[in-house]
Amino acid sequence: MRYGFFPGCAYKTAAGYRESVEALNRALAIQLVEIPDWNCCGATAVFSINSSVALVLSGRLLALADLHGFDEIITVCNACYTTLRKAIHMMEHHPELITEINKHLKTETLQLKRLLPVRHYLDVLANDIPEMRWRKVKQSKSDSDLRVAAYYGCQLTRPWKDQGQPERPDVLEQFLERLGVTVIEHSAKTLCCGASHMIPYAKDCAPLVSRIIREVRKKNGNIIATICPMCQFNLDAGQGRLNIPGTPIAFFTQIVGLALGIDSKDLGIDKLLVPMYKISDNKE
Amino acid sequence: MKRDQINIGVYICHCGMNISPKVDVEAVAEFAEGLAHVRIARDYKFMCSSPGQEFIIDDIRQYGLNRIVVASCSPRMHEATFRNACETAGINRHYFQMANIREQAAWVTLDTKEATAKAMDLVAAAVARVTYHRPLESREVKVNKSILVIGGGIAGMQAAISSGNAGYQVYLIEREPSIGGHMAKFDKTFPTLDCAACIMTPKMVEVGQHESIRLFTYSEVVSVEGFVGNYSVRILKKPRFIDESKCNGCGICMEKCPIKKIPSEFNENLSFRTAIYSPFPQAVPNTPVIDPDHCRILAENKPCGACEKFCEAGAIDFNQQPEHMDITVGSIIIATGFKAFDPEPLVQYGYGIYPEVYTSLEFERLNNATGPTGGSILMKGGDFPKRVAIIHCVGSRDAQYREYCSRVCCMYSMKFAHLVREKTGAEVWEFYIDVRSPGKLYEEFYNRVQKEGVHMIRGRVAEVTDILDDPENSEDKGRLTVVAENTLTRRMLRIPVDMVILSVGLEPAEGAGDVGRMIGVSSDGNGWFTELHAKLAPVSTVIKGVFLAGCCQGPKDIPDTVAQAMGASGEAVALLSKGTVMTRAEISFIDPDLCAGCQTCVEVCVYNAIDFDEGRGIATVNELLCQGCGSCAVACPSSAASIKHFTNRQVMEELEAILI
Repeated sequence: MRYGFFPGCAYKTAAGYRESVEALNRALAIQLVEIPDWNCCGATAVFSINSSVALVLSGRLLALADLHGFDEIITVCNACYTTLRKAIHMMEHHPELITEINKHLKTETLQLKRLLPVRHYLDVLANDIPEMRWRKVKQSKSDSDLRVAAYYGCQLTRPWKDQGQPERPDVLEQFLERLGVTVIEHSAKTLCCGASHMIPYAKDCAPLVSRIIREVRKKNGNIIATICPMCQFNLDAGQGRLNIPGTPIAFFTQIVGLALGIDSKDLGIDKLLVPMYKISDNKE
Repeated sequence: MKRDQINIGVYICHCGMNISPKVDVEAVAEFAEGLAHVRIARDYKFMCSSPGQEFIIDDIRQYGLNRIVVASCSPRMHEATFRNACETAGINRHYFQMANIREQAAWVTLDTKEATAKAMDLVAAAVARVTYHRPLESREVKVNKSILVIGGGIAGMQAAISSGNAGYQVYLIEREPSIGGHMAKFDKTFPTLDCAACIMTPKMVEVGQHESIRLFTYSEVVSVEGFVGNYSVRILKKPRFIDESKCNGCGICMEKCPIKKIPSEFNENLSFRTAIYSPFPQAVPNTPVIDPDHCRILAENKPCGACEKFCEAGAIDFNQQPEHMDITVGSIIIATGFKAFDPEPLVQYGYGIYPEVYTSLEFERLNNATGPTGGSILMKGGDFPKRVAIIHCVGSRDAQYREYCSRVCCMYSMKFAHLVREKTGAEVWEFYIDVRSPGKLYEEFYNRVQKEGVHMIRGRVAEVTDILDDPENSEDKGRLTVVAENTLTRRMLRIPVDMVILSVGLEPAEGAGDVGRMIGVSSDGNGWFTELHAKLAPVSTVIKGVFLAGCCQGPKDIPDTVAQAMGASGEAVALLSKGTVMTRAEISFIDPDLCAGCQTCVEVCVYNAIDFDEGRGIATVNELLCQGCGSCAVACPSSAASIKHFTNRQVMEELEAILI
């Protein structure tokens, strides 16, 4: 299986996402090869303004991945994930769109010939890595006092319904529990983080962040695991405006790395705005 | 019969504007006139009308026609009509063939020329075929004047009572230990709020004591064979482990049974029952059953026998075995009812996650005088709720689950609202898509509930969550929040409540599909049994002598269910009262001169209609059992078996006329 990695816009600047993904790739010998010359997925914005332009963006990515011989496209962001899947869904139901897209791609001598599957990195970790490899990599029993609240945000499970229960999923919890991580059950898993409204409507978004953090604390969680750079940023940075005790917001890959015994420095944990003192202390 | 004696009359129907002008009927008639053996061809506005039929009858008499072709609608619609006309004019009813140029040409073709060409092909095929038709006769056979009713809910009970009152022997089969069905679980019924038990239990007693009704509870139908008037039915009587003839229903066994913590199915798992149990106090019959999965002796082979020790009648029998009973009936009424939609997949409503989220059936029990709380509407902690939300259309009107409207939920939801207001004084919010109250006194009830101060909110609920907007408000601590948009005021609402009731929709009962397959009755995409005609034959099915009553045909409320049950009973009685039915004429025929005695046909016949005559070494057809399915004709290696009216010659001529 050749994974074509689509990092998307937020990956490299997000707080430790790149570090932790790369650390896991090294530890588990996962070959994620970046799709050369990748472009913006268009996110929800372009689709809502001009869907034919948005389709060309997605189409170009799919054509590039195919051109370079990848079998699947792997994303680390919910927006990339659903945007690409949405585009593929539209093309599958209206094949004439592909002809349209190809007219635009022609200027680059690209051609969209097949629609590669798009998967989230969580799906790869949870389902593609043999149990043996996990066992080999996991050095010791983790004795951390983390009580992790899995947080999915909006666009992984919905509207697809194939990544577990769409409204109250538990794929991440199941995966983390397999690695010996303590997870808590809560009701904020798929609530809105505010998404891009956080910039223009910061005041209106504050209650959204507060609702999620407070629910996790009420259910006795002390850290949130996210799977999307936007969710992570909104929940992490958004807490600055709230008058509640800080709750660290980590990428799920960072939690996985800690569970495997990888040094927190290699996971970029020091980049989180709400810091994880306790974990760092334990490590040093 | 010599070919030159054949005189065919062809009639092309306009069907008002249904066939003409899409099909050029005059051109088709003209075309038909040129076909071999056609003596006369006409077109007419409505062939099925009285003057249309007169044409046929007059022409037969005047021109000596001996074959008739009508090109019109589906034979399922009017074949019988035209066959009767042939018979009236004095020719055999099977000297008739129908060409369906409405459903198969006019309605499904865009282009007039193509439609006309296809109509011509179909007419040519019918003419080619009818040339080779043979006169066939059906026979009159006696019917068995008894009726099987499957399902002992209000539909089955009413069908049994009505049929029994007409003097027919009725066998009523119910798989649960007691009759009563869902209605026995209700306390009040909309819109009159009369007590369900008060109107239900007398009917249950009536069924139990009726001289014409033989009741089989804790029993299931395992096979149905035969045909209208003569169905052979096998019933499996599950062991109750109690001798019904000895038990006097005193109930001491239930008091003494040490296994007391089994969730009660009748109370929707809101209370417990014992291993020896009767589902509810008014059960009919009032003989308990022993649950073999939980009884200490039957399930674990451990010493106990408390029930046996205290039973003065000596009715306990741990060695009882399943029994098979065979009965013969003339007609069957299916009344298998419904099951409530399981809301668990809709996790956004929190059923199974939050204890104070109830299904409507659970609420029915909570509100019932014989229910787990004795009819007090209490939360699990024992307090009265102060704020209650009722969510309509859970599972219904939802493309992801059931697209249809379940018809009863709006009305029972408003009944709930009324009862909550009356019994607890709590504030009630109803979240609806549209309120559907089309029934006698239903709209009035809707108005009444609104006057009682129930908040009616038009908006589908987004979620029920334990996340509160204002967690510091101690009033709301422990409450659930219902999130919805009020689409009339265009405002988002987050309403804290103590209790949520999910008005779940209706689905076909578990096992209804098996009953349908056993009898040969088809179901629609949702699993509801299909009636013969949506408007004009709503209680009949494609299987003659099999009728439908109640929710097994589609969601309906109690008044409609009872009306349909009476209708089904009326149809069954009307069919049987004549005493005879006509057999099919289009059945298998095995030519004794060609049969080699290989018995392949005996093996393939699903109706057991072919016997092997040892003496002559050939297969013979039982004309009463044969359904004319044609399996034997296909399987027969020596072409000895054929189906009358569908002989190789007839079918090949028909095909050739279309293809060549």
